[in-house]
Amino acid sequence: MMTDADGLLAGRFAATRDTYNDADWNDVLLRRPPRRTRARALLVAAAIVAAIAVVALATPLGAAIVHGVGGFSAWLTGQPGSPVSRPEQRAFDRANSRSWLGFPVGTKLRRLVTVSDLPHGRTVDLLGFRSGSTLCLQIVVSGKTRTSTMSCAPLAELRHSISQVHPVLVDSSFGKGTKRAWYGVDRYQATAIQVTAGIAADGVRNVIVEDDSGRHTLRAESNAFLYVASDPEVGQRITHIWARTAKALVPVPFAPAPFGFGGGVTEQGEAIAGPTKVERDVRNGTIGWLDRREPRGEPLDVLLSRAEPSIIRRHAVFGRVLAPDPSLPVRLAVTLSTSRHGGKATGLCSWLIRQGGSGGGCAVRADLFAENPITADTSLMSGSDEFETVSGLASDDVSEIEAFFASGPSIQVPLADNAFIVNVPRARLPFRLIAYDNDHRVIGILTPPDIAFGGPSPAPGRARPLLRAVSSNRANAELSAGKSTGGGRCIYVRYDTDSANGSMTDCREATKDGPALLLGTLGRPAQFVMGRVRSDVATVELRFADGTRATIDPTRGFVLYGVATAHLGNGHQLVEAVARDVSGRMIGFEPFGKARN
Amino acid sequence: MAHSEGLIERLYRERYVGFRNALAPVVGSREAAHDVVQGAFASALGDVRKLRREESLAPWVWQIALRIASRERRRGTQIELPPDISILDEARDPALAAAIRSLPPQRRLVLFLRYYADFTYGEIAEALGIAEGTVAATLSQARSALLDELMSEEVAR
Repeated sequence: MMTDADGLLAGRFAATRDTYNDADWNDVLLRRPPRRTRARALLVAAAIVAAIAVVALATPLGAAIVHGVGGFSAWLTGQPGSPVSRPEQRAFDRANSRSWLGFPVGTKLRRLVTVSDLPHGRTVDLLGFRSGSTLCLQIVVSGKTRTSTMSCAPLAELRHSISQVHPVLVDSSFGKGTKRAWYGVDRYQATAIQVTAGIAADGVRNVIVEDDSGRHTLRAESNAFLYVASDPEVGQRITHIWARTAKALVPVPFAPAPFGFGGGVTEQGEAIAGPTKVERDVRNGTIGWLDRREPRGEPLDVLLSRAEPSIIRRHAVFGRVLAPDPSLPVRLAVTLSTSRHGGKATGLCSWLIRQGGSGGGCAVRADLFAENPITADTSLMSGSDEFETVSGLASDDVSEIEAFFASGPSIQVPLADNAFIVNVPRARLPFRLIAYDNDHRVIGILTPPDIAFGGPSPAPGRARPLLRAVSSNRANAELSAGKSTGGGRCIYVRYDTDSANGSMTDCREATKDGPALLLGTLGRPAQFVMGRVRSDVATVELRFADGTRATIDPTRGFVLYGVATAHLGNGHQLVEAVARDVSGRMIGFEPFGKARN
Repeated sequence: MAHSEGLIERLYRERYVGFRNALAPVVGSREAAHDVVQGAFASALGDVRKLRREESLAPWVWQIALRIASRERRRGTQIELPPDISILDEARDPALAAAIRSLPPQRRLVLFLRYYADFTYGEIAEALGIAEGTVAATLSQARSALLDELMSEEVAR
């Protein structure tokens, strides 16, 4: 029975409760001691443990043996490397305190590896720290180029590690280099240095990386490794990473950094692990505290003067800023919003807020959980980051979310106030999120949108102009073709219409078994039609909303056509394209959206 | 045994945060408390045969956690609590934190088990190896002392 005093104190204590939920049952299972059924085995195990303990106390070598047993023990205890100097720690504290989205006060920076004998007096320091359930690496470049970058990974990735080396940043670029090269229609300038860094287990002697300049052997120190490519070629990329232990050379999975676009995804033919069936059907869920407008997290006012986009507050009638994982300098703003015309707050918007950028969007509140009790978005600050951020909302039905991957163990997703944020390893993609209810039944399965780096990308070499077109309203466009990394060709279209100018690149291949037409349009309404066709396409017929048609003969498989002024007005626009072979038979079709009447 | 393991998993899923919050003042940080609670539940899974009564599960896991926290492996040993055991984030309620600090460490731990881990009187008694009546008396005294401190704090404002 609760007395008045009990109730009063319960309320006071409840207000000081830490609601952050970092429960991770998989971690418990992995920590579970192995079962021994025979007394003799128990005695042997006890004797071995005792022997190791004695060696550990007696000699420095012993400490290494114990660490060897622990894998990433230094990171798990938060003590990798050595402390940074006091001025460096003070500088970190000052920068951290200036930022609203900082790490927790008291975060201690550790020095892991330094590479100093670089041209132009440059030095690269690899620093690191543990913040709650997250470990972060910071690369600090000094000398001619003075800059830094940071990337974080969930600690669970080490606790449940299947690999002895975990790259965290791959080919992170700093400064301007001296080399230049053509890729398609653009001439790129190389960066001054490219840095690759990550975490290494205790037993790893060396980390070997291979890029376009050859193989490089790096000493693993302080449970980390650091590779600096100085004055690299344009587009130089790490292609392989291995861990060398006392016994073997082990390939390390990682996601290569994309260049331009494409080429940043690993091959994943495996199926995703974890549940595949929903065990309880949950529809039209809600977020109770949001509907009741309870003051969870922080008010939207914290976004004022933080240089956050005003769009977050625009049309918002209520909103809060949430921290599903307080150890990460990332927040999720959730707002109930009206349309731009006002009225009822029928929209529910969520915005991922982080240093250096924010992004998000709105959905119709009633539709958000209509089919699935979780929603998610994916974001990546830099193509060099090995971990991408997945954030989203869950309805009140969800008590737990777990991320399952194509390889390796699952990751428990931090969930608080119906919001979640988790960093997932790109090397283990694809992945999906599984939502559980209070009874641990599967109530939602979601595959978040992929950040598409896949497919061929531009290869070194200058593209050659192939086709030019001028539309009847004097807009002009030029199509060039160059080599792609897939062995085919990329097309580049530079355009200058009455509404926009710029260029676009498309490296898709028109394969024998693929669609006959790979076309696109420029301008709204469409002023140009461009793209490529399959080798068996002899003519392309364009059809307009007013019933008229135009025929194009592709040039070496490419198409660029300027639309006549008569087909720019309402009721006359381009609606579809039809592909025909040499006999005139229709072999393909591509619609261009609904014409306005 | 599978049944007992199921009970342990259920206890973990339902009361992990409470365990961690009650332990955090003892070990000094949320992260350290997380590691200890994880280790305690893992040990509980390994020693599940030693569980005699289902009702004793929460106190039993707590005892394991407290032993891990104090690195004291011997059974039946009185755990020595740190003298500065208090609310982790004192800024949330400085008056309550100050009032708690005026109590003996063992009494503070009873409060944390009651109000953070949601332990019943019986569970607290079993977890700490004291009589249930002692728990009731301790909580009653702690409440009186805390309310006195909080009242005087209010009056002083």
